[in-house]
This record gives sequence, C-alpha cells and structure tokens, in this order.
Amino acid sequence: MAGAARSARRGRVELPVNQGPFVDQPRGFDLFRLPGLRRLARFKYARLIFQVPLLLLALFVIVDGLTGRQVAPRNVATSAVWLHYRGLVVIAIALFGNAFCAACPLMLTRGPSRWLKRLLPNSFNWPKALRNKWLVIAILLLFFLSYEVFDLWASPWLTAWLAIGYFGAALAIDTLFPAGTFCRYVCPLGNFNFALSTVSPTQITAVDPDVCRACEHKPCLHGRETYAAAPATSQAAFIPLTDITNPNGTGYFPGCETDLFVPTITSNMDCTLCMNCVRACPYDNVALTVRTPGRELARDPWARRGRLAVLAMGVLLAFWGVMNALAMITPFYDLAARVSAFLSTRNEALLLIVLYAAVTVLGLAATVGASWLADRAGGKNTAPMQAFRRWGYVTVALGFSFWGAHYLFHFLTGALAIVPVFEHFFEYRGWLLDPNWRLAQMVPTRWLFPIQAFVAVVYTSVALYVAVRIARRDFGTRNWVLALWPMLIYVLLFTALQLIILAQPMEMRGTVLGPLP
Amino acid sequence: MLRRLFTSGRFPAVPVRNVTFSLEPSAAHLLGLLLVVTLLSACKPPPDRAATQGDGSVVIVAELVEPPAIGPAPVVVRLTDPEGEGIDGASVRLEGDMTHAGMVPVLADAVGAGDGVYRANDMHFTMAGDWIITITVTADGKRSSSVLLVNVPAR
Repeated sequence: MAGAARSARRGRVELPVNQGPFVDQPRGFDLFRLPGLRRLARFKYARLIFQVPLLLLALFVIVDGLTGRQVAPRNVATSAVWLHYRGLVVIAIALFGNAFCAACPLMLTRGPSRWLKRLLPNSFNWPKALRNKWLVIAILLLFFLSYEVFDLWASPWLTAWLAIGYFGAALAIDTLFPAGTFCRYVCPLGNFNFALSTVSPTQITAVDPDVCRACEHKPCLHGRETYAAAPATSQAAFIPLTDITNPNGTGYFPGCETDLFVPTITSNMDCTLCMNCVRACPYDNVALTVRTPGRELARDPWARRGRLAVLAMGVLLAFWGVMNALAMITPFYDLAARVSAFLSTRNEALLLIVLYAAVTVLGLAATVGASWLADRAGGKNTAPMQAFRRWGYVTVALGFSFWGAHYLFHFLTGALAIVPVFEHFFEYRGWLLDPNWRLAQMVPTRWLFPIQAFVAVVYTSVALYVAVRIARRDFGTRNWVLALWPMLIYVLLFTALQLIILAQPMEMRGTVLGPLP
Repeated sequence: MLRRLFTSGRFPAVPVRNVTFSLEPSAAHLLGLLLVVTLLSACKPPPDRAATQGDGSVVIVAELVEPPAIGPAPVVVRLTDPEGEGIDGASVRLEGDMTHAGMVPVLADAVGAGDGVYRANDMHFTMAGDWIITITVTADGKRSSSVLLVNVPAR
C-alpha cells in the first residue's frame, strides 16, 4: 500500500516492544471527553470553520491597510494585527494552546499550492542544512528589527503588505517544497507560537499507546484515504469505512505535516494543533491532554528535534521580548541617544542593530553563564554549552512571562477599540456611522500593572518549577539545591528586570532618536 | 549542485506528471490578474483623505499654545477664507491619536473666540511620544480637515 511504502521511505520509528507508553506523555484529563469536542475535532472541515473567519479578518486587514486611513489606532490592519492578534495569541496559549496556528488562514493557500505543484516539472526537498530552526531565528531577528526600523506597528500600509507577504510566502514555500515546510522551518509567527506554547496547559497525546503500536499504517503521520471501497489510485493508505472507530466521513485525511508521531510527542514545539492526527487516526486514539504548564520544559523534550537550535530560538525570543518592550520606554531612547553619540551616527537602522546585538549577546551570556554556574554549583564540571542545553529551558518559560505580560498590557488598554475601528472602516468608505472612539480600554488603568505583575509571578513560578525539576533530575538528592541557587538568582533577576521595564510609563515614538532640535 | 541540494534528503519527491498548458484565459487567471493589478496599484500608501478634506474654502491653521508636554495642551485653531477673513460659527473638533493602535484618542471641541479663532482648552496629551491631531471643521455644511503632528517629550 502507498502508506506502508511511504512509512518505509520516511525512516523507521524505533518502537519499544514492551507494553505501555513510548515516551513520557502527560496522563491528565482528555479535553476531547468534553461533550461535542471530540466530534468537532474529528469533523473533516473543523479547521476550516475557524480558518474562514480569520481569512475574512485578513482580508479586512489587507484592504484597510492598503486603502484606509493611515493612522494606526483608526485602521483595522494595525489594530487587529498589533493589538488583538498578539493579545489573543498569548491569552489562548496560556489558557488552551496554540489556537492561532490551529486556525491559521495561511494554510488556506494549501489548495492553490497543490494546484501549482502540478505545473512544476520537478518538486524539491527542503535542504538538509535548513531543517532546523537557525533560518527561523534569522527570520525572527529580521522581523523584530524591521518592526522597529520601519515602525510596522504605526503603518497600516506596511502591515497590510506584511500580511500579503505571509500569504505569498506560505504559498511559495508549500508549492516548491513538501506541505508543512513553511510551518516548521520558515514561519516566524508559527515558530514564535511554538516556543510560547511549550508552557501551554494542553498537549496532543495517544489515548492507548498499544493501539498505536498495533497500527500498521500510522495515518496520524502519513494520512489515510477512507471510502466504502478501495479507489483505483490513492495518495495514502486506504482504510475502509467499516474499519474506522467513530467514522468521520470519507475522503483523504492528511497526517501531520510537521512530522510529529502522536505516541512519541513530548513537546508542543512544531505542533500546530491542526488536529490532522485526530481526524486521520482510524481508531480515534488521539487525546488533547491537560498538563502542568512547564511540564515538557522540565523533561528535555527537544533532544531529538534539533535541541541546540530550538533552545537557542526559545532563549533568544525571551531576550528579544525584553528588547521589544524596552523600545517603548523613555530610558531606551536615552540609551539610544548615548549610543548614537558614541558611534557618531544618527542612522536608526544601525543603532537598532547594535542595540539588538547587545541584548542578544548579553542575554545569551547571562543564560549560558547562569547555566554553567548552576552545573558547577551542583558538582558537574561541564562545558558551558552542555550546561546551556540542560538549563536553557528555564529561560524559555521566562520568555512567555515577558511576552505574555507585554502583549496583555496592550490588549487590555485597547481591545474594545475593535468596535469603533470596524465602524470607521465603513464610515471611511461613505457609510453614515459615528464610531464611539471612547471605547478602548477593557480594565481601569490602575489594574494594568498588577495584572502584568501577576502574569510575571505565575510564569516566574513556572520557570522555577522547571529549574527545580531539572535540578532534582540531574543532580541527585544532595546537590540539587546547590545547583538550583544560580538559576534561582538568574530567574529572580530576570523577573525584576521585567517588572522594572513594565512599570515604566510608555513613550510611543516613531523615531529612536526623536526629532532634531 | 543546486539541483542535488534541493532533491536530496528524506522528503520523498512528488511524482512528475505530464502537464499540458492552455493559453485561454480562465476565471482563475483573470482573478490572479486582478489581484496583481490591485497590488500594483497599492504600491504607495494612500493620501490621508480624512486629514485633507475640503475644497480649499476654509484654511485651517492650528498650533499649541505652549510647548508640548504630558498633560493639558490647549490648542488654538484659526479658520480663514482664502482671502484671509476669519470664519466664525464653525464646528471645530480635535481628535488626538498616537501612532500605536489601541491608545485611547483624546477628543476635544474647540470653542469660538471671535475673528476665526477657536480654542480647544480640553486638549491634553496622556503620554509621551508622537501624536497626530486631526482638526475637523464643519462650516456652511461643508467639511474640511487638517492635521497637526506633535512630538511630546517624556517628563
């Protein structure tokens, strides 16, 4: 069968012969036991139900960004993207999981990409040298720099072009290369969500690993085709309708496009929550399991999925989060002015590159340094990079603390403005509407810092939990407390820095150096 | 070397299919062409229609009474016709926006003080940074507008 041949070509998954789990997956409550949720997830067009509204929103973003009023608070593009999307992403990740990737409208280019593939004389494989997160790290850095240099947050027009660029890139990459390449190896949005969702309270797991063990074709990975009778040709393993537990229709059910095999999933990294696995599993054996936030970070989950690059991405995101928030407060502009005087330049792009480089180097040095000190304190004489591979996960948790608090702040200060912004979209085009621009803030101003501080405390606790678990796992009963001390100080210093930055009054400027006198 | 780079590796290649091309335009081709034309026409940001309304019959000049700072920021607006004569009895509304989405705008109405001068004493800046103040004037049933850009320094 095609599916079996494909699984042989894709390489072997070494499965333990004993009964029980393949890997250490959480065994908590399965959210699919909630009434209707399993049926919804297995519904063939479930993802489309959520993708269509986001596609419509993307169209509004593009149209208003290109043709609407070029004032950020009045335009759907800048409001929906830099305020609502970012805020809702962190709220969803904190409460549920990677909901945006689950409903990603960029994946609606999959149909056109399949059609375009037929026009290509050859198909291509994504280069081996790029099958890691290093390219994603470069793209993320470019994105964050561009955000500051071009003031994307203030420009509806550029924001619209960014959205167009995303759709174009998804179409191009997934046309030229296998489906899923864009999500796993290119998309900065998706990889940002992957990194943050490592502290999400849910994870895809196998209900009964022995069912997976006995499964011949692994459709959760390779897909399946299901009809009443076998078709003449097939693109995946054929499993007749009569063999399906909880039948969910006929047709082609794709497998995981980022190559995650359900019973071996130990991390939300690369999981888009697309639920392809849920729909493709003929035995209805996939669960969405509730777990402790930070559980995966304490278990070295990325050892077999490119650990150094993935860890580097998670750690760098934490410090780029520091930079992203820092660039909105007055002390940053003072610092930029001093650097400008030191370098004798007023070139904003150069200044931002220098400042980002400084934060990157200092952040990595702090993480590697704290990790190495922790190993030494615990009695291990390891190389700094080895220590980083052990403790780097702690910083990943801190990253969510910063991004979550920061994005939540902006969301809470302006989420309700979506109403007048959409009214203005139609008013600008001649409709007789009078938007109520006083509709913006969701909570009183005096609540904002306490809410940010609460988020910081919660995810600092997650980071400390991860640190304790790692220490106890690797240093034994006598030394784990000693090993913990440097990480404890590092986590508390990071949190202190976070709170100091978030407590500063904002200064939203389009220029790093301000206008000339 | 590039061909080998892109065709090696663990992902299986999609089988090559024989394809014949048709040069007759289809709905998909026309839609694609429309999309390309739309995108090309959006090669630069559009003019700010809300900030440049008017037929030139009302000249709007606005300025801050004091140097910009966080807090109260009274604005004086002078309306004249093209000959320089002051225009009284107009409705003058000021809307102050920052450059980041989600910031609550500051709304103020200017009160006439005679000879085409209007004062918006309720205008204030809630935060340091870049502000865009849109002045919308309604006079004789016609609407005109102008924009005042202000950078408010931190304390």
